[in-house]
Amino acid sequence: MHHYFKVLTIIIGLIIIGCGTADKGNIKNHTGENNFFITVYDSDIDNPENDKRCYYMIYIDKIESGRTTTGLESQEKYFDTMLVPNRHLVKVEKWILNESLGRYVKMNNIDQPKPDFIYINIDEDKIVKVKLKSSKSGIASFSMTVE
Amino acid sequence: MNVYKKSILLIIFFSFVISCKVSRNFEAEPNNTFSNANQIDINKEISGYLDSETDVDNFFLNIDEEQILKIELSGIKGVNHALNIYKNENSKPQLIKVIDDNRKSTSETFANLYVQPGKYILTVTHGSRDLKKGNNETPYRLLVTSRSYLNEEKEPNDTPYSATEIADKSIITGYFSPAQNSLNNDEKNKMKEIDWYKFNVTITDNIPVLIDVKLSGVNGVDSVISVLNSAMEELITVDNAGSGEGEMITDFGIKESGIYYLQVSSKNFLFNHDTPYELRLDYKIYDQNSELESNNSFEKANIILNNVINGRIADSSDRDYYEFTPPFKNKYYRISCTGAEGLDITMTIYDNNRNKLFEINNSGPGAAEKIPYFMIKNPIYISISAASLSSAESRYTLEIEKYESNDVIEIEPNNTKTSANLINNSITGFINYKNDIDYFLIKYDGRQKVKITVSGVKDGKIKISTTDQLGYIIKSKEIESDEEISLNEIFDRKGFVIVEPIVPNFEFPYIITIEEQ
Repeated sequence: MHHYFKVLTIIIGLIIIGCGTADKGNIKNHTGENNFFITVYDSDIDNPENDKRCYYMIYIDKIESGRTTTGLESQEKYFDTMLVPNRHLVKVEKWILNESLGRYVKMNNIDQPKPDFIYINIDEDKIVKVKLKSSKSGIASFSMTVE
Repeated sequence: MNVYKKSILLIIFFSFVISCKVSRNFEAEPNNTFSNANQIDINKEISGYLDSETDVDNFFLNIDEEQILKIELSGIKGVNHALNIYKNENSKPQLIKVIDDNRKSTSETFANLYVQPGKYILTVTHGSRDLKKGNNETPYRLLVTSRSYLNEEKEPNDTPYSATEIADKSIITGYFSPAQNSLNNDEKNKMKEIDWYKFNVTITDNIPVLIDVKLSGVNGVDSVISVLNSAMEELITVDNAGSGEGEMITDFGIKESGIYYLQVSSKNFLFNHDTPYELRLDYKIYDQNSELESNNSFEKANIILNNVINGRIADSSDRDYYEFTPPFKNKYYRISCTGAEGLDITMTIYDNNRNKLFEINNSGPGAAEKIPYFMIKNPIYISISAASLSSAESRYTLEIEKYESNDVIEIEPNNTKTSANLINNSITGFINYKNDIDYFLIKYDGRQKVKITVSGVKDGKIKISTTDQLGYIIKSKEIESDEEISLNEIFDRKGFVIVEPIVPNFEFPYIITIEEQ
């Protein structure tokens, strides 16, 4: 029984490491010396018709810092940057593609993720990774890891 | 008593004189056949009756020298009459002209019958259109007058076989008379009175000849000129001006030796028996810097040899085609077309496969149209047309000039994502025409943050946009005049920069610079 538990732990560990490695590698390709990473996706898109192309504008300390990659709402879209050690306010703003206009337009405030901000602490030699999971209803949840 | 007798004698004398005169100037029936035709004289009026539906009155004239005759036949109330003219050829009368306006009660006139020594017969008869009926109450009056022949059309010149010769630098007068020609059975021109002229062109050293034809205006007549070759193929027809105005063919190119024909006619059977037209023909040798009409299609495009062409828009439907083969490939050229005052030029560029690349009509009437810098890799076609004409002489000059530059300049057409120009570091672009949209492609191996700096178009206003990899716009900024703006963008492997005019200026460039961050 103890043996089985060990094997299961190794398998789960490998899966986690495998998943993590893929994600990490993806980011690593574009990171350089960056110490802040944010990934955003919609978790409950179940109909391709509703899976629209979008990106998120990222405001750090109320200043526009850039945007995530573009992708379907169900896909992970990421942004990374280097922040000085301090407490920072990170706010996101969802822009969605209006195909008839041929351009991305900012979503109405009522449809923006709620909450649309998170405070993070950047410490020396630490990397902060934030994952924002949004839903159709607009309810969003942030999770954060520090490495 | 004496006085009374004298008065009676005078009245009798004058009555006798008057009655003699009347009887002398009246037809003598029977004159229904050529053989019993009445002789008439020039400048002496004669009268007669078409007194039954079968009545025909013949008169003959003996002509002793070359001259021009004007024939006037007064109307008969309620009768549509006509005048047939015969020329005695080998003792047999040949019908050479029918004067019939197809209307009742109206007079018939023929302004200029060309005659040579011989016998001519004039037959007053019923017209072909209405029910034939006589009138023995209203007489007709027939008057033939004459003048010397001098540089005139030789009527009847109603077919190519009877065409009047016209030479280089000569002026011929003619008349839009009679109103119609019932001997004309040509399907296209049925009943139309057409004056035919012919001229001979000799081509030496394969250098084409340019002809100018000028037809003066005649009050009440809307005229048309056509040029045909000896195979009776219509080469050009000009009908630009309205009633009372002249027509003109300028610099029409003829490439083959041979006999050519000019047709002069009026529209809608309009006529003028009193005022002649003047027809002038001029030849000149073609120079390679002149347009050679007809060049109204790709197939007939003139080849631009010396980087300059002088052309003319004949009418609002005229479209002149030119072919330009760049002596140096992948070089930039400036193309400009300047026109006469009031001429609103449209310049259209086509690629070697005759696909339309773009159309330039940036300026108003009288102003030049320009393409400041245009990369020409393969032969192109340029067509020149006009939205409005300045006058009958709507001349223009088309010039192409090679342009050397060390800058990286956009390559038109780049109006779509698929034809976007790749930017490496910097590129200079132009708004070439109204609604010109320029696409530029930015490519990286992965995700790249860049700073895009754009210097705007002096005296203009542009909008610059960045897009995602699919070409959907992410952000846009407007740039007033030549101010410089910067914007940061992240490209996921690729994206586009799009430049659109808001207030177009076609003279000055914009410059886009890309810096990786």
